[in-house]
Amino acid sequence: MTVTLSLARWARRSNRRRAVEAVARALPWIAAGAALVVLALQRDHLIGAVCVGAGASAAICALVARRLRRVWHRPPSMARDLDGRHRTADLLRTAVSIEARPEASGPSDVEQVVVARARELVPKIAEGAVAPLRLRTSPLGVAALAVTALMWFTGANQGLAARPSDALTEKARAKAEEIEKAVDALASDKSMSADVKEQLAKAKDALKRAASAKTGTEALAALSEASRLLDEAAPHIAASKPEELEKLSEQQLADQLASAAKAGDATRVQQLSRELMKRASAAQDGGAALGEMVKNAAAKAGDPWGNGSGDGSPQSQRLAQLSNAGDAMKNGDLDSARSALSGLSKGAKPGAMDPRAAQLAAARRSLSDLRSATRSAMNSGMSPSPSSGAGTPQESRDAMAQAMRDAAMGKMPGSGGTPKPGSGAGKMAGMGKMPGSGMGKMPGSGMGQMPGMGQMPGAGQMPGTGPQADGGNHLSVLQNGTSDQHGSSGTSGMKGNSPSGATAPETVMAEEVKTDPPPPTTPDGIIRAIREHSAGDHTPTAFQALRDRYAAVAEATMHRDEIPLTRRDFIQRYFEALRNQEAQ
Amino acid sequence: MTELAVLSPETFIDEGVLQTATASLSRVLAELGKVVLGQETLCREVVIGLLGGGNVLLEGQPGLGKTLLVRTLADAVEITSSRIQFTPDLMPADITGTQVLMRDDSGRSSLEFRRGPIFANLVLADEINRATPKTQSALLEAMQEHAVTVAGARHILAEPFCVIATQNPIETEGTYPLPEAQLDRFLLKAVVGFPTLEVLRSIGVSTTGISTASAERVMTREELLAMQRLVRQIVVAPHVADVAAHITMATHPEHNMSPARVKKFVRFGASPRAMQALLLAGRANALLAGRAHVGVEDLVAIATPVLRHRMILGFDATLDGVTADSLVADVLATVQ
Repeated sequence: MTVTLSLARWARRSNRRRAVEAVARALPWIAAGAALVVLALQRDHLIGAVCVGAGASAAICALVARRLRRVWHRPPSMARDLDGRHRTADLLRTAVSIEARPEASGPSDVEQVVVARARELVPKIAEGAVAPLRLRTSPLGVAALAVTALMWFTGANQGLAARPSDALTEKARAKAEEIEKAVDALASDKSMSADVKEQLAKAKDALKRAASAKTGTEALAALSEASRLLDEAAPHIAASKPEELEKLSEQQLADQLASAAKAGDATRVQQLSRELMKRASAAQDGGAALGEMVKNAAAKAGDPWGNGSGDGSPQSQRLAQLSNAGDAMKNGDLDSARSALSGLSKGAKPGAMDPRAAQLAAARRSLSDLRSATRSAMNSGMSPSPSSGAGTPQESRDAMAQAMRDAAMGKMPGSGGTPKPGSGAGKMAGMGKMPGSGMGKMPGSGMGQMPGMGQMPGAGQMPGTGPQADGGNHLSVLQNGTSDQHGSSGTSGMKGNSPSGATAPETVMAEEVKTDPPPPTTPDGIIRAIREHSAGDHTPTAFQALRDRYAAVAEATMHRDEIPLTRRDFIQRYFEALRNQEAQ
Repeated sequence: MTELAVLSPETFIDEGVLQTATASLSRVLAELGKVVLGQETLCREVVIGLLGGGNVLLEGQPGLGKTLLVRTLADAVEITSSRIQFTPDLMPADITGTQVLMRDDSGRSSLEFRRGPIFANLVLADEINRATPKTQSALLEAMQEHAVTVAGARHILAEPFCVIATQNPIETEGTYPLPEAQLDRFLLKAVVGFPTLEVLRSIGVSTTGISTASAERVMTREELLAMQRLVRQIVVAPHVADVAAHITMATHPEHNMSPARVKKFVRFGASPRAMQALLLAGRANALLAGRAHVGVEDLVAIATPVLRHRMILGFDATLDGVTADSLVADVLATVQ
């Protein structure tokens, strides 16, 4: 065996060990680079991930190659290393150079002596010829890995939450499932019409899709669809329209009347009573069968278990009064029945809602919160908090919009006990097409003279006095009238024109007036109007008209699906903010 | 007679021959050390010069044993020696020899060449810088070609031939510094250092008594010649030759690998003859160490005596007190 062969064998073994050492030393860097790539991928920065991956790979390869180049051995360098370690004064290196020479020029006498001495040396130094494997990691690499881990644990979750395409968080998903259960409970109500049940079932499916969505966009789309379906179902559940009431079967009518009486929903009782009396008057048997149904429904509502218990509470009293009305109808005494029902309406607590309507309203509110939170998370990268309060300005705006919708439905805060007619009425320009928010003079407390306060339906200025707003240059002015489901909803300018297609609640009525002057159409006029408004000129007529026209254009564009779903609410909130600013 | 005495160019050199040579050289060094106290390095360098077939320039103060060293070396090795005291009025013929008119028994006269002191194996040129350049140059041919030409006749000097010149660095008045061309012909320039206190005491005691130490003859002329042939067969690997070339190049200020101080203080670097000297002295050093190959460490060991007189320093070096030795150290630092 020649000296060169021995050195080559040692060099290979040394190279393998050094390669393992270099890789072990680079492991923290590799891990850090991989973590960075994963982080970038989680944030959907594909290009960033590719760049980080390529850069990290190149850097690590360069570092490993640089290190290996310093320790990589071939027979001459191995000989040099061993000569240095064993102080053999270049014996091995000289022997290798002699052996590397072509065969033609054979070694001289002295060269043979050198090679012989080197061969003699090789077995003596074989044991420690190759440095042992020493696995060490780079302290700098460990530090980099630690920093990356810190980034991972502190920034990855936020990054996950910030991903626009991520699905709902666990909390949001739980909220969606909760809403789904509520909708399911509503759908199981036998008094619901088939259409409403179908809509609720669709809404439930949409909520299911939202809960199981893979991406945030998909979830938001499903939530929006569910919201639209619930908005559409809401008026049917409340059955506030005469045509809807007409669709109810007699048994459903009796059941809903009993339910409304039980809940103390005066408005609802009024609506149902009117329909009940209309049917009783038209019935051939004089309403006897209907009266029986009402009586049974009242009995069932007051004592669902049939144990005959009565606690004397106002609720029991109302049901007893309803039962009396049923008796009167059964006996053919429609006047007494009407009187009893009228008394029931008077005695009922004004503003109280049908439990199903309240349940639906709660579900809609929760859904709206969930949508806002999801949208905020997608837009701002914050974690959605569907149950949290309106902490951010965005949430405040959402809450304000929801409050305005609630106000439009007669749920304005402070409207429960002491109504103050006309108090705090601001001047809100009617948008005509905004869901629940398009109002003329927004009543601060939500009502003028509410039902049950002495003005019965039809009294005062009846609804239907103004044309429907079309988003054009009209200003809506709240009428000091009374809500009446028989009137045309039109004056709020919201009927059937919400983005979701839902019909706006009809408890607020207004008349429409044309704006004067009409919105500017020339560029100079537009700029002047905006400039005057920005300068604090409180003669907003021109600007309001301009804004309304732009809002209408935006709404129309959104209806044509030209605006991405995730940006629609943003645009809507922009115009809401403009209106709110003017209202202040 | 040892094995080396019969060492011819055709003789197969094996491990035994090398070991014998090394042992023989060690004995020579030991004999020198017995007489010349405290000058081991000097003795080694002189032997290296002798083995390399070159000439050695000794520089040191008077009384440090330069002449004693040469005389002892001649005693230890069976070679002839002569001593020439250089003075300003020394003529070339006083060194090389001259033709004298000789009359034979028949009364006929003829010119006959009478050899000068240069005709010896080991020539001590004492205080060489005291002679005029003309006389100094009389040594050039002898040192380089081992021959002298007198009256058109070329006379070959007997091998081995070695000139060991001395010069006094402190006396500059009335001296003629050796020209660079002549300095380059010295294989080594050894600096004779002042002995230590202990050595000085030993010198005083051992040299002032009745019996003085003397060297025994431990090597024959033939053995020395065999050694000189063996030295030239010591293996020089390519990487060692590379280092020698690099060292030589690094003494040149215009070379990009030369150290900054070399660039600043050196006017002219070492000649290619310096590299030859480096390798030759390295071979001799390796043989002295018992090796059959030259290592880089051999070059490093003899680089200073080989290069110190071949680097021509600038005026800045004189002003700043920079010595050639320190510059050689800088050069060696670039290869280690």
